[in-house]
Amino acid sequence: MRTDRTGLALIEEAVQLLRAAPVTVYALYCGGTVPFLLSLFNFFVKMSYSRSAEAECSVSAVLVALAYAWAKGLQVFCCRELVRAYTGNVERWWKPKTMLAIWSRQIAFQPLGLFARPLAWLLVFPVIYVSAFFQNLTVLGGARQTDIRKSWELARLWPGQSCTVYGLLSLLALVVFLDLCAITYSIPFLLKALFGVESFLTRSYTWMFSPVLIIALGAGAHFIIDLLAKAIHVIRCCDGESQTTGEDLLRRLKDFQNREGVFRAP
Amino acid sequence: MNLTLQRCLIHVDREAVARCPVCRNYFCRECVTEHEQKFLCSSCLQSMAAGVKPARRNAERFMLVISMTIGLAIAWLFFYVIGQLLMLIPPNVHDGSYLRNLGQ
Repeated sequence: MRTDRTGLALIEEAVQLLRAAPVTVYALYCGGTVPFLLSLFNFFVKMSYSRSAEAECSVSAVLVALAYAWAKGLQVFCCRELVRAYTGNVERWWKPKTMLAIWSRQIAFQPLGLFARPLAWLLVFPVIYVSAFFQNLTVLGGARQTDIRKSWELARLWPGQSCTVYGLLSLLALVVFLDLCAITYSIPFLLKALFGVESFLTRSYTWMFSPVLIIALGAGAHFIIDLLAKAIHVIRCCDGESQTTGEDLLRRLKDFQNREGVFRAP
Repeated sequence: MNLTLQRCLIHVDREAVARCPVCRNYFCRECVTEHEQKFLCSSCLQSMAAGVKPARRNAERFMLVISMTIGLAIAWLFFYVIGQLLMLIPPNVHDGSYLRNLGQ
């Protein structure tokens, strides 16, 4: 466990973890997040442009809530795979009973974060604890009864590091958002310049200021950064748990033994 | 009583490292197991595992179903509120025609 690690070093380590992570991590994350984002965009468009939006709002909100529950379950499995990539410990989360336990706890607790996080953002200071709590709950899964208390305890660890990480991630999210805007806005004009494809998007600039498009790009940026945030919390949770288990030392010793072979009998 | 002076109940030649909070006996590291952040001896752990009655399990399951329903209802409420807020935005803002009006 490294308590002297700076926020930037932690982000760097999380990027390395994501680079070394197996394809299943990305498949599980996309498998949960992409359907949720598509249903969310569909919901935004319906509520903004449909004539029957008032009548459809309740049913459409149910579908988005179900997609959200689906996404949260798969994000836990994605984090389990990240934990496996980081620690090398194999935990069999794919047993139906374990999956059901994880999913049910996630459905029960994660929706609270939908209201708690914006409130925490308004109050500024508690946002690092509230966000870290819900991210830790995703990492730990919530299948055990102690996971909720442990999530909160881990969220309170190393507050200075948390502040730096959240500050840097917010900046990074802004950069990603601006990148997405630049790509989205330039595509129609590139198509016109390179292939002569004329469309309603190139005749007027007003579509660029559509609230739905801006919200959708913001949501896209959030979910791109979210995977990095999950990798960061995987590292923080594993290191935090190592304070009581000493597992990080055993892991390093094993690595050292495998690499150097110094403890092998002659 | 000082823990360092105690011996394991099962392995008398070993020093005790923990006291089981259920049976109050002393045990060495090998004879205790961590369970929900408490160190229990194996016999107490077994009796605890066997003692979880089906009625309690059913009550836990029932509570879980209730909390899942509440969780889904909270998620639904959040997206429903967002939908209602989007409907409050005037149509000329959605299609960008307000920008043309500003220009005139």
